[in-house]
Amino acid sequence: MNPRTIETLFGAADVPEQQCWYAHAALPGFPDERRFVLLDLEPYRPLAWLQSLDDTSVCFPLARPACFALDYPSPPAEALFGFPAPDALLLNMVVFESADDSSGKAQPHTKAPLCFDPASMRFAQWILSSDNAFSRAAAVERETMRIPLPAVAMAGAA
Amino acid sequence: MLVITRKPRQALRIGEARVLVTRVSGNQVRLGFKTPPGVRAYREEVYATIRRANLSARIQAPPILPDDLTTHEPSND
Repeated sequence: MNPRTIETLFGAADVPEQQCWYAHAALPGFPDERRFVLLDLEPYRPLAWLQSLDDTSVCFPLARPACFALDYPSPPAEALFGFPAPDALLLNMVVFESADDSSGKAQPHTKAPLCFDPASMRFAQWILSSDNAFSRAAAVERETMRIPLPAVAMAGAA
Repeated sequence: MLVITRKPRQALRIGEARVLVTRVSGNQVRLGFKTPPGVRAYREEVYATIRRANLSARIQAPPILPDDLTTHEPSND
């Protein structure tokens, strides 16, 4: 199947169908967005970008919890997806205080990481309770923080 | 808004989700939920917090990256 070309904040991207991610349940605040793609832009690593295919103005920066020295218990994949997902990977949304703030303050969205299952190409938002809160982890080398999930590589300048 | 009256141990259905009134005590009602895969129940205020944070995470323009993403101190509060 031919890739679909979409416009993103970073320019046009060719998106092959097999790299589309499906939101198993709609993200709170975004009830109509179900199909997404992960964008990988070298200048922005270790971040990746969760780009909606339903509304191309919807895009979220994501990072591995280790980028913020966070550690989570194993996600309840079966409760989130309805099937086991042993290779599921957690990623945090990243909230920038201001896009043009040169101080570049960024905070992880700690209470609801996204759980990605590469086997089914589905993801779901895991809303934590006090019983499964995150903990602090040791710092990790930035080079090891890249997101090992199917993503569309793009050029782009930070 | 649909309003339904139920007694303790009585249930109602929202689609495939089952909601059971397990206990009524004073001004509190305890509810039990049985939901299909992919459907989860949350307290309204928890859902609203997550919704606000999701909306805040949406970017409108490519941001300027900080040199170090790991300098803040998040909390579980």
